[in-house]
Amino acid sequence: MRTDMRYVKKGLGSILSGLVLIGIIIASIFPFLYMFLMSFKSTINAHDLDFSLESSSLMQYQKIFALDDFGRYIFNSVFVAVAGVILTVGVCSLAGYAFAKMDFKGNDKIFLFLIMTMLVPTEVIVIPLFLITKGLGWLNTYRALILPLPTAFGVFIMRQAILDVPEDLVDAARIDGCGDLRIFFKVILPLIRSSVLALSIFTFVGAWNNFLWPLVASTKTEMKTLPLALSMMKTQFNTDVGLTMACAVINFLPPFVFYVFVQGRFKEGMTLSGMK
Amino acid sequence: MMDMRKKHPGAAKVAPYCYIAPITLILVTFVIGSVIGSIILSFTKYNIMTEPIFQGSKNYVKLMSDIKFIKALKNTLGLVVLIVPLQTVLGVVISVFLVANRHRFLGKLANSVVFIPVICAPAVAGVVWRELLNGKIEIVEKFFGLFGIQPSMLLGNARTALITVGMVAIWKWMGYYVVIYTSGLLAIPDTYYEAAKVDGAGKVRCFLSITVPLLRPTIILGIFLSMASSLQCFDLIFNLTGGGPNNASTTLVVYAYSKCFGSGDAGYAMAISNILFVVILAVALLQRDMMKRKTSEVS
Amino acid sequence: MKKKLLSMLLITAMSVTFTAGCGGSGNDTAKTEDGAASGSGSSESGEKVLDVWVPPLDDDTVNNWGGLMGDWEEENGCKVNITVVPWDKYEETYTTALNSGEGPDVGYMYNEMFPTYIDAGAVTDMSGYVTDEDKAGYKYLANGFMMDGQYGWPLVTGVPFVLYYNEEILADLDESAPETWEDFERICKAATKDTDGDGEIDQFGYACGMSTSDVGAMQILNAYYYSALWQNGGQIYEDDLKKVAFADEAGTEAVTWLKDMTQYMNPDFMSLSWSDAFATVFGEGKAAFGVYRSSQTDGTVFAETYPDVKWDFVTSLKNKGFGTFGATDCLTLMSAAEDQDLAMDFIKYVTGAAFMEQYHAKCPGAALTNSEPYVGDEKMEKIYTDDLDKWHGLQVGPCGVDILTQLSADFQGIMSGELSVKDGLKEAEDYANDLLAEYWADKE
Repeated sequence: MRTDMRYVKKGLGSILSGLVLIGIIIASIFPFLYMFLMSFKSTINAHDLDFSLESSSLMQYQKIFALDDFGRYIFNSVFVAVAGVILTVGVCSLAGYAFAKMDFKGNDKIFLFLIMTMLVPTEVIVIPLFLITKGLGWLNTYRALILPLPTAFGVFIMRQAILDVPEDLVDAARIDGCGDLRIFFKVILPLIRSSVLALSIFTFVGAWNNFLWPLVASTKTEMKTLPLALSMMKTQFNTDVGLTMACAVINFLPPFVFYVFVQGRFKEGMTLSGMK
Repeated sequence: MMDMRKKHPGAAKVAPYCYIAPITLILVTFVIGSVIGSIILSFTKYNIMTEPIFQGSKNYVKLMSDIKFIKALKNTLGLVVLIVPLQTVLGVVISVFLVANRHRFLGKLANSVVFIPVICAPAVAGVVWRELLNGKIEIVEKFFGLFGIQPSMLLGNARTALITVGMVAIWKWMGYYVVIYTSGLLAIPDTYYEAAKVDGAGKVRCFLSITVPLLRPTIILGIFLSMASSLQCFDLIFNLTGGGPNNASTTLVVYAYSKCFGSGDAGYAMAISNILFVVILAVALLQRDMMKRKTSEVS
Repeated sequence: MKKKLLSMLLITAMSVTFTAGCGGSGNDTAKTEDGAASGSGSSESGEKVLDVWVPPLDDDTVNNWGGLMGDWEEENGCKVNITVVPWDKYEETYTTALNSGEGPDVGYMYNEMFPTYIDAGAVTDMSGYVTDEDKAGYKYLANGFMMDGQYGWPLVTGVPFVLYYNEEILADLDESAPETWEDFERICKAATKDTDGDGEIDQFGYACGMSTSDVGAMQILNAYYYSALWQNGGQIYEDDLKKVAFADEAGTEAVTWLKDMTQYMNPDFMSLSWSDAFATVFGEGKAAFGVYRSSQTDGTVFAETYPDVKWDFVTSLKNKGFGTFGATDCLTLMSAAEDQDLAMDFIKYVTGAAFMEQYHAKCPGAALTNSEPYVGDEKMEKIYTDDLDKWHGLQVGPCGVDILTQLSADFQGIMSGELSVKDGLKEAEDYANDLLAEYWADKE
């Protein structure tokens, strides 16, 4: 009797937690589902939720793909984002390695100093940042779009992950005669793979969604990224919800695909912990 | 080879600096450089197009009596007070829940999709939520109706506009905190829980006396990050309310931005952002403890 | 030792490659572009280039608008390089580009934008180029005259915010098109009711949306405020632009009247943007009135978009007078343009009747010149004939953006009931007059 009750209780608990999980799933994807459905609307009055086939159309997407130089914008966005990911992972993991595993004067202080930069909002420094970039003569170059991408958050994640790498492993490698860099590439990097992947996602998403900075840093059409190009379709009194949503979908897909691609490489969902 | 370190201590000392040099150079050039630039420009009258004209502390004097600035400062702090505790508590609870269910199919799915809102651009999230709330969609109206709320009233009311923005921000960034807290949770050895079980401790007990204390460094990190992001909230506000009604959701970033580009008064905008830096610095120094190496270790 | 050195070299090399790698590819593009972008200078082949910046005029501006430049380019031996500047972050693009000298030769601005650029000397007064012929030919040239100079050359105009009404709702109430504020108020009152008997009001007098999300703070003034102010005989600035006038008796009365109308509006009017309100409330047949930026093609477009709504419109109500807002967006001659005469010739060419007729055939818009025929729906034609004097642009004055942004915020506060009409207008007035006092003091 008592064991029965326990099973019932357990079953109920399982159903209940299942419902909560479904709730979380719906809350996470419903807005995007809505966005996706709206993007097939053709008239400016897209609010009637009639999603039968005949009231849907690919018109919005045709408009977007008909943009001149569409390929160029995609290339720019992908190139900037991928280069940003490589640069960020490179410089952040190296610095994280030094901060986590090396004793040097000012270790903690420099780290704290770098972390503080995380708190500066991009929107308010965009003008001085523009003036600096102009001073360096980098306007309208990829450099201007890529080099400001790495953040102190990357250093933080990498340091955290490398701190978790047991000291024994590092020592053992050192006894085998490995130099710092060799240890870094052969021992540490493989162990913090999941953190590197997570940082890649964060960086890719951040780079992809950048709007204000690429706009200010590049006036030439050839340097425009995809979000900028999409915003060029919006006329002043645009009330075309369908077109807005189709642009949103197009803009959302690449980072989403990147996420799904990288997500497949995590065993237990994305985490920052290198060891588990 | 092995004792090279002893023979050439100079090289060993220089190496770590070389490793941190690239990122330091980037951050100093772009971020610190910009902050310094904005401090200098805040003492000028500057319309971006022509050369700045030095005018002393005039901008700061003007700030003191600017009603919009005071309102924006209040809203900024209000947003932090609203977002940070909720984001942290919800983040931890959801993460614990997801970790507990991580072997179920639904759990795995939830763990993956909860990150999707993080991927989309904040501006897009703003537009989509505005459409959802204002669009008179039956399902949405019914859902909010359960709580006695009419969704299309939320963004237009001075009392609820900022709160709504905060809620959307929490939704938007939840996946980010789930990743962070999940890492912390997985780093807690299972043996702790097994021992507690033997002692007859219940789930709540385990959560309070094992999970929370051991997760503390991660939670402090989470609080720090959520403060940083709530202070910087911009695109969401812009697309949800435009800072309205009557500036009820205008934050310092939004105000500085509109001064800089809308009115072409960049000097004044820089003065506003410098006040924001001071606020941020004060907040950050309050949590300085988390920066110490020992306390911030995840495991 | 060697290994140490090697590792350090590697690091340095790595960071250098990153920088150089990204930079290199950037440079290539910059170089190939240099020729085309160096303002009205000449490209490698010696051909002149004119840089023109416009916002999206239609959904394929470069081809629709830009595709018609061929004749002019050939005639002048000059290539027209069109850059479409997105409306999102429009001013950002201009100010930063002007700072770095990457700005255009011919730009495009809306009225409120001008004062900042006039003060910065970024735009040129075109008065010297205006001929008697232009004065006679161009309908709206006066709208480009501001702060004592012809800084703008109207390109897009003639689409005022007009008052649409639902014919069926009005017919049910035995009413016809409203003419005065009294008519409007009476119909609003009668129309606001519960039509299906469930105890909830589901039909409203006036479909409004006063949120400023993403459309910008000015839009609610454009759509609702200016018409009330002007119809009541008020204006934003005093004639000498030294003080604002919107909080005088006429202005207060206008806002009080609008505030009174809120009881007949859809209850969520503070959450919706003006265009959403029109689409979701008026467009769904749930309101007697709605305000929208008119277009010559409304007859066709609305028939497709709102097939169930029988509608008509009045350009402006009348109280003490008529008035509603019609934006005038202008082409500008940028001071940075090397060949001013050439740029000016271009401006006149693309605003001229011959060019506009071709363009409007593809993308309908209001005629800019007297000789261009009206194309569009018959229903909308009265805006440009009988009602031409009932709508106009905005008085341009110093600190315009700041003053109007603050006014828009206080207007929201008044409409939502957070502020009284008096307090709200007083706050906006004090704010504006302080700014103006400072502005004129700086000038002296």
